[in-house]
Amino acid sequence: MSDIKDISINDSGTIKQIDQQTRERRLEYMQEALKMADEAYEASEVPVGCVFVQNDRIVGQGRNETNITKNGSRHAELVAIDRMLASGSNFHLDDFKTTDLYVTVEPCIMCASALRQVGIRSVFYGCANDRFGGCESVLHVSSDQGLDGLPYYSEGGYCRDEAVLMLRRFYVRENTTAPLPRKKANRVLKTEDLDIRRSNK
Amino acid sequence: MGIECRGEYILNRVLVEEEKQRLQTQDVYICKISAQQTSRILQFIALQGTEWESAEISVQKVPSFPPYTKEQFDEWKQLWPVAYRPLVQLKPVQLDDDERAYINENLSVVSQLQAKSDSEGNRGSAVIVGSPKAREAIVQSTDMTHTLVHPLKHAVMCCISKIADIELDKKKQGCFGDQCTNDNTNDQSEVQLVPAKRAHTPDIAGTPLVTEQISSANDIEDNAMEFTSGYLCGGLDVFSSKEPCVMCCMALVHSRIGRLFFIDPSESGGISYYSINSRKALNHNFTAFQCTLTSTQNLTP
Ligand SMILES: [Zn+2]
Ligand SMILES: [Zn+2]
Repeated sequence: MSDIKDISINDSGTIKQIDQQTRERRLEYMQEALKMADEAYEASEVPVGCVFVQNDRIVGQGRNETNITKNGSRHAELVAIDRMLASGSNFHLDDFKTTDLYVTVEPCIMCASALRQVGIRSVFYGCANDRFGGCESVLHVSSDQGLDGLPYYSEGGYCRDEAVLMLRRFYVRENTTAPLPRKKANRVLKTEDLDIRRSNK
Repeated sequence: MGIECRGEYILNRVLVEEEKQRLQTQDVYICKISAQQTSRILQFIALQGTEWESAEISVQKVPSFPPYTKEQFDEWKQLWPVAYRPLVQLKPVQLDDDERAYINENLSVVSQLQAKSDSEGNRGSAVIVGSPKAREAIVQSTDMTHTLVHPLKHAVMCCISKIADIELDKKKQGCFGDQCTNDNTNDQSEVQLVPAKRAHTPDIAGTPLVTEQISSANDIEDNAMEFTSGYLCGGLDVFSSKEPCVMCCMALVHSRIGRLFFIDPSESGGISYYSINSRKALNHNFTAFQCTLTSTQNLTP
């Protein structure tokens, strides 16, 4: 996929080569995040999903729950964090220092701030979030100085097209089933500009 | 609520995004041709022959936005011709006595909740969400990060959860938002339901999300069922003893609140740092007020 860069820029701003194996592993985790997004889609929630990974192990997962909870702040990231920090879980706040987030859509401003405040190590995401994005699209909450919590490294473009397709499917379905159907253009699923290879597992 | 008001709060509307913008500059080249690159300018100069031999190229910075306030205009016009259209002056906040009392009371309560919470070793803010229409508090919370050992359980987030749970309770009782049938009024916000008292609100993991710490909270919870309706926290008022952080301010945008009143500002807060309440890029804006207490007690020596 053309979106995935061979290089990645680390915290200190230097460019480091990431090996094929690392990249493939990140794509695999993103596939897990996409599964969570798919679960959200099936539950009529905006299809965004995520997994948290520590020491090559998935230690948390979540998906959007804003409709079912009637709470506009129940985004995938916060849902997962709440589960991870729930009493009885083996995961502790300190563990975020060595944990990475894989989320299908760029975290919004709220989640980007929450991720600073728990002290996440780095964030990998699929597509940009043009309306609310807090890592690059609207604001740079992830890297700005002087905010609560710690800045973290973030990078988009992992399985971007699949994340975009999932969102488009959702909005086409919403527009088609709306009491007053929207313009025809909004009810047609566009895919020709996307390069979807589900086969890369 | 039996709250002793310690004085009157002065409400200052917080500056909106544009009013706070500072001089930002862009490099421009002024030349007879439309050259985008230094190399092209140099090329152009070379072609002019001896006439341009002594020409000096200098780079000057000029404003990249039109000024929004008079102060910006006075500063920026020194550098570059800029147009300034004075704004339709934003009127000072007009409040009738009832509304002033409602705002004063809720600010007094959050300030007292905060003091109590501080004395118990917590550090965050105290928040009340109220209905501007009924002029009554709906839910309240103090910061729960310490109690729940969870760094994100700020008072604003806890209040948003409580409002959501009230909505869910309504749904459980067979009242589904728009289809809500109500005999004597068409107004959705006047739905009369008997409030169900809950000891605590379970979160998704089944642990108590919010436990009542303040006894005066009960009458607030009693009002709770009646005044929320429609979309999330749409149009509600939020009173906070401290300026909410970036996460909380954005949660308020997602919840579509109407007004935010806070007492202590914070440099890293979502309003001071990013003007989250007034950013054009976001799909919802709200008015924010920074409120200062003019206490008669403070005036006496
Ligand atoms: Zn979010
Ligand atoms: Zn906060």
